[in-house]
Parts: sequence; C-alpha cells; structure tokens
Amino acid sequence: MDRSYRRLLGVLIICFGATAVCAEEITIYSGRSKSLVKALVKQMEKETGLTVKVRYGKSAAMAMTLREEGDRSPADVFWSQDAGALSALSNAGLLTKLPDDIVDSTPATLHPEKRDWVATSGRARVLAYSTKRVQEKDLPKSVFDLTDPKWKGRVGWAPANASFQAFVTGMRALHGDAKTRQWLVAMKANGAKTYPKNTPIIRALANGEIDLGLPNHYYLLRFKKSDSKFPVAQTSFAKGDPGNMLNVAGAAVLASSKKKAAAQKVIRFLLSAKAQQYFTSDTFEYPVSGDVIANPALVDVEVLLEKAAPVPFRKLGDLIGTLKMLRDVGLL
Amino acid sequence: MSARSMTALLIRRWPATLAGLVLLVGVGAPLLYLAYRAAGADGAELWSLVFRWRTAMLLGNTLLLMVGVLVTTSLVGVPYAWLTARASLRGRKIFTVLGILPLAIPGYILAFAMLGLGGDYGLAARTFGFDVWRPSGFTGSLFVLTLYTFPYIFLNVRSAMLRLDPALEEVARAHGQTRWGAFRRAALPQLRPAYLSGALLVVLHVIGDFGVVSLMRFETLSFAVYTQSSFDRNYAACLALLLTALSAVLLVLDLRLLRGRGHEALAHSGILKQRTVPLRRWKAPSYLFLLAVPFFGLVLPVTTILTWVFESDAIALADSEWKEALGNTLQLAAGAALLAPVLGVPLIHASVRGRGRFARLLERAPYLGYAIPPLAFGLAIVFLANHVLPPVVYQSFGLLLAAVTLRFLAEAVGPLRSALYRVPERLEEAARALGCGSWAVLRRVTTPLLWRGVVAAMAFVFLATVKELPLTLILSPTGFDTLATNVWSNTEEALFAEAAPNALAIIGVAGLFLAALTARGER
Repeated sequence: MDRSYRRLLGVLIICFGATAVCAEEITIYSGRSKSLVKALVKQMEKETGLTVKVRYGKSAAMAMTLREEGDRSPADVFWSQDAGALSALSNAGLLTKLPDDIVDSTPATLHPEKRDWVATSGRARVLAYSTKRVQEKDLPKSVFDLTDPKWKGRVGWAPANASFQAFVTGMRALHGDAKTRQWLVAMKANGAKTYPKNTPIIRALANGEIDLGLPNHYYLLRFKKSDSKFPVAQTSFAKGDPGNMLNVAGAAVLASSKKKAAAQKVIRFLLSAKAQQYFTSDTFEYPVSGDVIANPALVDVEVLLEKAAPVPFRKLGDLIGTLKMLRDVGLL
Repeated sequence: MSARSMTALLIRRWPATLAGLVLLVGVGAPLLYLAYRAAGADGAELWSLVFRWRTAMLLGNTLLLMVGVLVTTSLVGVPYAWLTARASLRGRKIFTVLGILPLAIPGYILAFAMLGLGGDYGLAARTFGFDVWRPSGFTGSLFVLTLYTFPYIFLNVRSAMLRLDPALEEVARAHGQTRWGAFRRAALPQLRPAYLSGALLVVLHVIGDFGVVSLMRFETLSFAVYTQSSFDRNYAACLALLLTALSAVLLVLDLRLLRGRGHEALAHSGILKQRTVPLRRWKAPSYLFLLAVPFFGLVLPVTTILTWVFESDAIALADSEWKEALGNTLQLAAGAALLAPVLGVPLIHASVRGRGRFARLLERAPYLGYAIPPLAFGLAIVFLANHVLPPVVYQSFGLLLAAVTLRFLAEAVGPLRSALYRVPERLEEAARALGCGSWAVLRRVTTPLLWRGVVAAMAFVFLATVKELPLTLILSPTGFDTLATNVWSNTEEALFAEAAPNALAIIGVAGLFLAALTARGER
C-alpha cells in the first residue's frame, strides 16, 4: 500500500470516528427559521441547562410530519410560526394541556380553547412594495384588488408558507370558501409569482422581479436594519381587510413526549423577559408577555390592532381545508 | 442454468450474493413500501389529485427541461471535448481541468450564486452599477443545469475521442472523404456509446434535481415531490413513483440505444498517432468558447461567493455554523466512502470474473440506487423507517449513511472495475487451488492488489456525498446540519451571505478531491 493512500484512509477513518457525545436532550420541531432563532436557542440551552436539538422546517409541513409520526414522534416541543398549524395539531389531539401559569402569562385574547398551546410572539401580514416602481398613492386598498390587470405578473407570494396559509384560512373564515377560491384562481391567472418563503419575496422586490408582495411584517425590517437604502417599503391594506391578518407564533408540548417537564421548561423560557426582548429587538416581532422595551422600528401595536382583519385565532384551525384548497387550485 | 447450479453459484460467490442482497433489500424495500403507500391511500381523492391537468403540466415541464438540457449540454460538451482532445490549441490540459472543475459546484450553489449576482439590486448592480440578468423559470434552470452537468458529456466524449483509432479516419480519408466527412462517418459512430452514457447521467441529474428548479421557480416533478413531501405524503408518494417510472423508462431506452454497439470504442492501435487539427480562423472563437464556459460555470459563481464571504460579516455570523457543518459533512462522506467498497468490491469482482446473465445482473446492480430520483428514494426510506422499522432507526445517522452509500455505490464502479481488470485472474486461481475460499481469496489476494482502485472509488463516493443535498435534507437526524443543508436552508430564505461560507467549504473540499483525482488520471 502506498504511504499516501494509507494516509488518505487514515484521514477518512478519523473523519468518521469524530462523533459527538450524548447528553440530556430535548427535541424541538421548529417551523420558525433557523436564521431567526438560532441565537435564541443557544441562550435557551444556557438558561435551561438542556441540550436542545432543533429540526427546522416549514410550520405546516412540520404539523403534517407530526401527524404522520403520531405516537412515534421523536419531538417534544412544536414551535410554530403561526396559529393555524398549532390549532390543526390541537384538533388532532396531538398536544397536551399546558399548566395555567404558562398560558395565563399571555393576554386572554390569545388563549386557545383547549389551552394546549401558547402564543410566543405576534406578527402581522403586510403589503410590501418596491419604492422604485410603485407610487404610494397607487397602492391597492384591498388584497382583492391585486387581481386587477394592472398588477399582472407584478405580485409575489409564498403559498407553501404557514403564515400565508393562515391568511388564507382567515380569508375563508371572513369571506367564505367560494370567494377565497375565486381570489386564489384569479391571482394565479393574473400571474402571481410563487416564492418558497417570505425573504425571497423581499429580495425579488428589490431586484425588480416583482413590484408587490404579501409577506409577514418583520422580514423587511431585518433588511432595513443593515441597509437603510434598501428599495422596499411596506404598509397595510384598508381597515379590516383580510390582507391585514394578525397572527402569532406559538409553542406546544407534544402528547407523545416523554420529557414533558423539560419541554415545559423550554416554553417557559420562550415566554421569559429575555426571550420576549429578543423577539422584539432582534426579530422585529411583537411581545406577548412581560415587560419589554419597545422596538422603535416597529409600527405601534395599537395601530395594527385597529387595522387588523377581525379573525379570532380560534378560527385558524382548518389548516387541512386550506391545504386542500391550495392544492386544488394548483398552488401546492 | 439449472436451479441447483444457480444456487451453488450463489453460495460459492457468497460475498457477492450478500452484497447484492443488501442492495436489493436496501433499495427495493423502500420502493415497494412507497408503492404500497401510494396504492393504500384514500383512492378517490388521490386519484383526482394525480390524474389532473397539473400532473401533465409537471411531467411536460420535466420532459421539456430534460430535452433542453440534453441539447445544450451536447452543444457545449461535445465541442469542448473535441477542442481539448483533437484541436491544435495551447493549454489543452488547463482547459480540460477547467472543464472538469464545474463538477465541484453543485447546481443549487450555482443557482444561488446567480440569483444573488443578478437583478437590479443584486451584487453586480450594487458593486459595478449595471444590471445582470437574474435567471429564473425555464431559461434560468436550463442555464444553470447546463453549466453544472455538461462535464458528464464532455468527460465521456473526450476520453472516447482519445481512445479512437486514427487509422479508421485515415482509411476514410484515403477513400475520398473530406476531413469532416471522415470524422462524421468513421469517428462519430464510435463515440456514440460514450456520448450516450454521458447523456444518461445528464438526464438522470435533470429529472432528479429539485434544488435548481425550486430556486428558479420552475415547476417540475421533483419540485412538486419536494413541496408535497411536507404537506401530503400520499400524493408525494404517487408523484415520486411517477418520477421513478420516468427514470426507469430512460434507463431502458438507453440500454436499447446501446444494444448491438461495442461498449468501448475500438482500442487505440498505437500504430498511428492522433493528429491534432489546425483551427486557423476558428482559433479566436474557439478560445473564446473555451474561456466562456468556465467563466460562467466556475469563475462567476466562485467570485460571487468569495465576495460575500469577505465583504459581509458572514464569517462572523455563520462561524460556528459552517465549522460544525463541515465536521458533519466530512463524517457522512467518510462513512459512505468507507462503506462503499465493502459492498462494491464483492459485487464488481463477481461481475468482472463471472460470465453470463448473473454477471451482467451484478454489473447493473450498483446503478439501482443511482437511477432512482433521490427525493423519491429519500421519501420511500422515511416512510419505511417511520412505519415499519424500529423507532431507533428513524432519523438516525445510520439510516442516512446507509441511504447515501446505496445511492452512490455507482460512483465506485468505474475505478473498481478498471482496477480489477488489472488484477491477473491466474493469481486468484492459484490461491483457490491452494485451498482459499471465496472470502479468503478476496481478502488476501485481490484486495491488496486492488488498493489503488479502492482508494479512487472512495474518493468518488466521498466527492458525491459532500455535494449531496436531497437525501440529507430528508433523512438527516435532528440537529445534524451538513454544509449542503446549511446552504439550502439559507438560500431558501435568500440569506445569501450566510449561505456563502458553507458553499465555499463544499467547493473547497470537492475541488481538492477533484484536483487530486484529475492529477491521478493524467498520470
């Protein structure tokens, strides 16, 4: 055997042998993206003393995975970027009731009926637009106006994204299935461009691929933070429009978890002042509990509440119905 | 062959039989379960989902892209091969290496670099003040996939061109053919097998690819499988089966086209030296072409990624992230590289030494995992692990490792086979006559002589695993991020700067291995 080959073999064996050591572990399925929360997860490990393993994915997709896995799921905690995915799991009986002190640390309007999940931060749907190619006065007043021929091929959306899906569920609750389906079909016919997630929508707005987009409110703010000249802005539709849905990210303990106490520790941490401050300052979301120093880059929460679409979170549970509709019209 | 003698053969060749069984079960069982799952789902609803206009559209888009990429890769790959093999040009060696190196840049990385570069707020626009085309849709996918897959055609055709016996063309010339006529009628037909096997690799890559088409937002079957795998797995299973069927049709078609042709072009007689062809007024355009291809496929993406890495605070941002991922990637790749020869050597050995149908069957076996679109394979394995296998297997490193090894076993075949051809059969016969069993012969005689081939095979498997995305994405244990999955998750969120260090690490590792393999090949 050549010496160089022996060396290569040695390198391969060392590479393979370098495995990690085991510790007390808790597994989170996170529908929140890694880039947003990985720093917080590190803090979580420090504060709770647990080794936290996170599987990242899309919220609705994770909910479907959890349904598929059932009792065999390795997950202890589900952390979703929207209420719809959590409600769907709650309806399927896969979540376990949380202690009152956890649920009651958030405002009563955010409590789910079965008290088996809890909101961890708030967010809003917005209309984002290119400041180069769209005048503020020309902006549509309602999400229904986006089917107008003048926006043909100029709108971007993310049908696979859970927040978008929650928005569709909300629209169904407000305006009925027939009108929602009609809108989706008309949007598609009007050349709406599909992106995998919210951030690419913002990027595409800046790059001139599209002129209007339907993301959550905090993605643009992150771009603006590092680049104040970023040529995109955002606003709301007229008061009460379904395009102004409010939503929450939330967390729950899985019924199949064998480490429920540790899982609750994780959720308590997410509601702690430290985590809430992180959501406010670092990911530009709205806090749901405790005393938090407000982020000046955010629109005042009172303004949001006034403009919001009147859909209670409890009505967002029919994720399956929304997924079916999106599939039927060929968006998924 | 009678049943009894077949059984005797299987027992006598037990290492090969065992490896073959592992392959058959490892690849076959998940697929069968996938089919079972697709069939067992709520019939009427699924039926209406699968048999609708949209599925035809997805299939149409897949075929369109496949044919498109085949045409463009041929238009790029064949001239590139001819210029570096037969034209009288300076720097043919360098251009050859430049034509191979794009293999170090997986399609999804190329796509993400192009996306970040183009557009009126892209890297180019902000740095130099001019807009570069931001690729998307069909043309975007075509562009990126061509740059990524043309080396398969280029490499196959080039080596076949070098093996051609120039005597044939000389004879054609002597019979009054023009130079072009001689090339077309005497040389081209012999290049056909090499071209076809390159083309097969290209089309398999295209129908299996989901990274490029997702980023370019062009809806193909793989794209739909990827999206649906997270929302409706029964529907995804159906689409995955459709994709697998498509790949099977292509394989059969390829075998048909190859039938009756010599698998190898005629060996070089060594009597005549291949003459290089002067280019004259075509010289400048040729150089331009030879430079343009690696410029788009290599220089542009690498510079873009380097800019991100050095200009932004991406290193600080992603520091620990990419280092940990590098460790995971190396661990997985090394594991697959060590396992592959264990399965591969007995199989290839039996197929090279054996005769008849059994040998041919063994020869094809390693390609099983390779031909199945990776998303379909991954999905099938997840299904099986979640519902049938014991819970420890689900989301385990071992499962991922097994899947990757089964998929990339095919990469080990080439080097192992050519090494085996160089081991004299008589040595093995002598050992057998002295009382060694199958295993002992393999262990004590063949393997030591095979060593070079084994290491090359390992390097190929390693290289493929470093770039692998879909299987890892679906099967990786929780918290086990590789460079590829980091690139993907950051790119999907358009966080190009955060993806950059991970992408650079992949290109670095893959490039090193490719350079080492190329240097070895040039010897």
